[in-house]
Formats: sequence, C-alpha cells, structure tokens
Amino acid sequence: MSEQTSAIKRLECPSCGKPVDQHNPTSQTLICSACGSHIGIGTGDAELLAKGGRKLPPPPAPINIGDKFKLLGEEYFVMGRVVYRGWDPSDTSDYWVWNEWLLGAQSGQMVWLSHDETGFALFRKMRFRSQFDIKTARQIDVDGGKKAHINERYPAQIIGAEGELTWRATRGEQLIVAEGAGFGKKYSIQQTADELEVYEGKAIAETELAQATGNAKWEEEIKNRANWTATIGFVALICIIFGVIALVGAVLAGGTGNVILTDSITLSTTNQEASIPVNFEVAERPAIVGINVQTSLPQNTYMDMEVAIISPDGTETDLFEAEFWHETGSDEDGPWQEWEYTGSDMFVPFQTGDHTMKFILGDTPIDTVSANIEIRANHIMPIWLIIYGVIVGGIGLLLIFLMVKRAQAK
Amino acid sequence: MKTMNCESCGAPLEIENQFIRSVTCQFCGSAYVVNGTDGLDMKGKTASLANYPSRLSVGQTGKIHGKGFSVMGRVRYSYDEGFWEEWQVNWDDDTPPDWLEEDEGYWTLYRRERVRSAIPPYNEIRVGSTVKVNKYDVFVTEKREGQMMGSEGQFSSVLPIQGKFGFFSGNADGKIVSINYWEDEIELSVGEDLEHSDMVLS
Repeated sequence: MSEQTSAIKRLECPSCGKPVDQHNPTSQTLICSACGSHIGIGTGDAELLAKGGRKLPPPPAPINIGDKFKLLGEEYFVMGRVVYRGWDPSDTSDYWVWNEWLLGAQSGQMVWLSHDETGFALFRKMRFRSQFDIKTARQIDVDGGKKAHINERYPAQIIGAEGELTWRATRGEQLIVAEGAGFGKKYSIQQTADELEVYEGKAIAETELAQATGNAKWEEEIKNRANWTATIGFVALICIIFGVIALVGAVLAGGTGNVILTDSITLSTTNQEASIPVNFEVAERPAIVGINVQTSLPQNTYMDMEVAIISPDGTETDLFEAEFWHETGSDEDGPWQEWEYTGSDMFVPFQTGDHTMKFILGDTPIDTVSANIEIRANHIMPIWLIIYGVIVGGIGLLLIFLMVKRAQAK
Repeated sequence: MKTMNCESCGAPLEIENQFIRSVTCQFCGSAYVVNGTDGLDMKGKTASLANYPSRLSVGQTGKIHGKGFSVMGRVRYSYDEGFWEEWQVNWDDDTPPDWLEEDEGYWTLYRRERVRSAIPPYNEIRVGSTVKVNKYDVFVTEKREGQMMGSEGQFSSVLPIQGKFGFFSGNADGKIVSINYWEDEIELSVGEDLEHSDMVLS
C-alpha cells in the first residue's frame, strides 16, 4: 500500500471540534473528515466556510487522502478530492459525476488526477496561448503551434470534497467546463466569473496507477476484471456469431423442403372446386403449399382461393385463403399498377399416408382460372431460427452492454 | 547596506540598496516608507505572517537562469477564495529588484514595466476579453479584488497596507501580464513562467 504523509499542522474543526490535519503549506480549505465542514485557512483564524455536508460518494478507486506514491517519475501525495457534477444544459436530468484528486508533488507543484467514464488522466495547469471563448471555441491553441479540438462543453458544480484544497472551495460552486483532445493529450478548460483556467492532461492506465500506489488488492481486482471482461466478451462474441448464423439460416430456410407434388388445377364459376391427392411419408413436419396463378387477371379484378386438406382418417381442415389481385390507379407520380399472382402458406400434416388437397374458388368476377400447385414437405420453419437468433444475439448484445457499463462505472 | 532601527520595537531595519522604498520590521510588523533622507516614515502595522514552509524565505539566495539573487521580502495578499504570496528578489548584478509569485507550486518571475497606454477602468475588465496594455494584447484570465494581509522584509515599492485593490492578469504572446489598480497608481508587471529547474537555491 502507498505511504501516508504526516501533517504539518493540526487544528480544531470550528463546527464539530474534531481535529483536522493540514498536510500542505499552501492549502486554503480543509474539509473536516468527521462532519464534512469546509474550513478556510491561511488568511487568519480558521474560518467556517460551509457547515457539515452530505456524505461524499466513495472514491471510484482506492486513492486516499494522505497517500504517497510515485507516478510518471514524480513523487506525489494526495491532498484532496473534489467530486463534480456536470449536466446537459438542454436536459438537466442528464447528468454525470466525476472525481478529481489534488496531488502535491515534491517540487511543490500541484496536479489533478481526474477520473471519469474515459478513465484516469493527470492534468497540469498551462497557460492560454491565445484568446479562447469557452462558450463557442471549437479549438484551443496548444504547444508547438498545434490546435486541439474542443469536443464537449457543459455547466458543472462541486457536489463535495474531502481533504485539503488550494482554494476556498465550497459545495455548489459553479463553473463552465470545456473538454478538448489532440496529439495524445487531453485538455480541460474551466471558467468561473473570476477566472479562466486551462489544464493539459495525459491519460493514465488504471493498472499503472495501481502499480504506482503499490496496492496489490487493486491490481488483483483489475486483473480479475480484465479476466471477467475477456470471458464475457468471448461469450458475447460466440452468442452474436450463433445469433447471426441462426438469422442467416432463417433466411435460407425459406426455400427448404423437398417437392413432393407439382400439378395444375383449373377452377371456374361453374366448377369452383378441384382436388389433388398427395401422400405424406412423414408426419408432424411442416409442409408448404404454393399457388401460382397462370390466368392473367384483368385490371382491377381480384380472386380468392380457399385451401383445405382431408386427412387419411377423413378429417377435413381448412388451411388458408389466398388472395390474388391486379390493381391500377394514379397519384402525383402518375399511373401505377400492382398485382399478386402467387400465394403460399405452411401447414403441418399430423398423419402419414394419402391426403387430399382441396382448392375452392371464392368470390371473383373471373370466369375461369388456372394455377400451378407445388407442395414441399419436410420444411424447416424459419420462425424458430429467427426466435433462436434474436434471443442468442440479444444475449450477446446485452453482455456487451453490461461490459461497457461496468467499464464506465469503474 | 544601511541599518536603521524600528521606531516601534527598536529592532534593526536593514536597507539593502538604493532600490528599497519600504521596509517591514520582521519582529513587530511595523511598515515604513524609506523617505530618501536618513529617516523612515511609519505607515502603520501589518500582520505578522505565519511561516508556512516554502521553497523561499527572506534571506534565501539562489540563481534563476544562472543569475544570482537573494530574497529581500515577502508579501501575502488575500482574495475572496484564498491568498497568494509574492517574493521580492534582489539581483546580485545590481539590476532593479523583481518579484516572484507562487501559484500552486508554479513560479512566475515578474518585472515591473511603465504603463505607456490608456488602460480601461477596473470595472470594465471582463474575464475572457482582450485588453490592450502597452504593446501587449492581454487575454484576461483572472480578475479579482485583493488586500494585503501582511509582509516582512524590504521592498522596491511602497506597499498598500490598508484597503482593497482590483487586479487582473492574463496572457499575451507567451508573457504573463498583471495589472494592479492601487488607489494612486496603476502598476503593470510582465512575467514569465519558471520551470522547477530554472530556480536553483543555494
């Protein structure tokens, strides 16, 4: 575990009387660890800036006030932590929280270790190279005459703090934040009514931070999390692959089954019914009945055809009613015509042996109609593959969503 | 160097060189204006400064960019969100003294410059705007009101021991420009940031 630094001064909290330690000479606010009160120091007697306060959310990583560690070749001690809340000004219900630890270097310089949904970054104060309008600027001038892009801006406020800070920080303090990135660096611009500041940051891997603090438990947790992510990622990938295969199979299944009958029928207003014998060797496997009307339907006419089947035991079952039509009309794009000359549906024969398919001409102004009939047996129903594909693929996507949420939460 | 005595407590007051315009007794906080004769004009008393650890202290010597200096004085100012400190440094080569300012461990070396252009009134200055000061187009990044809290040592200017003053600072072509609106003077300082290694202490 990281070492703890010793206090240079101890004073009494003006609110609860508990001891409050000061570790850094340039601190201007101490936050009482017992009652959460903000205490102003450095300009005379200790002054109560804000009494008490709600409990600060636990830190997203085991970095504690007073810890000492070496990061990027520099020794730091953890002086304080500030929790910010930013929000979408057009939808205040959309908000997010991030943490910033104030780190003091041995050189006396202060830096900020920030943690948000993109991970950790170490920020150092820099100077503006040129004029910058936080509300409109799309770029910011950085080192070497380069320009980094501003990718986000939003209002924010301090919702809590702990430890000690180098300014008189209070809960509710509001600011405008703009975030930028470019050339491997991050940029954070913060404006209050009195001050405009810019910080340049470098992303820090969580593993690097855990190693820097010498926290073996944290390192183990990162390792376990990585293993969990790899496992879940692998399972998610397999699920998605199987889901895609099932959905592709569903598309291909539309043409499955072996043709056991092709025939043609002729129906008329005087002879409205036709029968075709058909033998099913296997029961309880889906079969497809396809009808392809050969007679040309005059414009704006239609035809219904009912299909039924008589099983070997004499049971007659209505299967479906197919509709065929030829329509014309006109709209703003000019004249149009549509037609439907084919129809099909699926059924499941529950018996083997000789069946009779019945085709009955329904309501139609057509005198005589001829149609080709095709029956395919042993059909694979796409619906089962679709259901399987959607469920398995959905599980895969859900696992990826959980992985992303968990990564963001850390 | 010239030595006089504090009228209040009798302690010796050292006047390092011809640039010194005011001095604060390190024992009782009495502040004096160096009047150009053999005497001192007492201005009042400043609070004694709590001696927080810092890289610098009055009497400390060292080099900045290889140029020798000694710390002559320290002033602490307060503002609504805290305080900051400035250190008066005397150069070994007898050039006029300059100021070192520390902000969160980052050091800036300031040199006074004459104001040669009109400067907008304090209440017209806005953070985020650009103000023309002499040859500098200053992008204003900070505007506040300050007040001197206390001092120790010798200074090349007369410090305002009472009352608030407005100030703003900003960036201009790699320089740091700071303007103080004292009651009877507008003071311009132009600074440059120092890397930690730029200042080597003895």
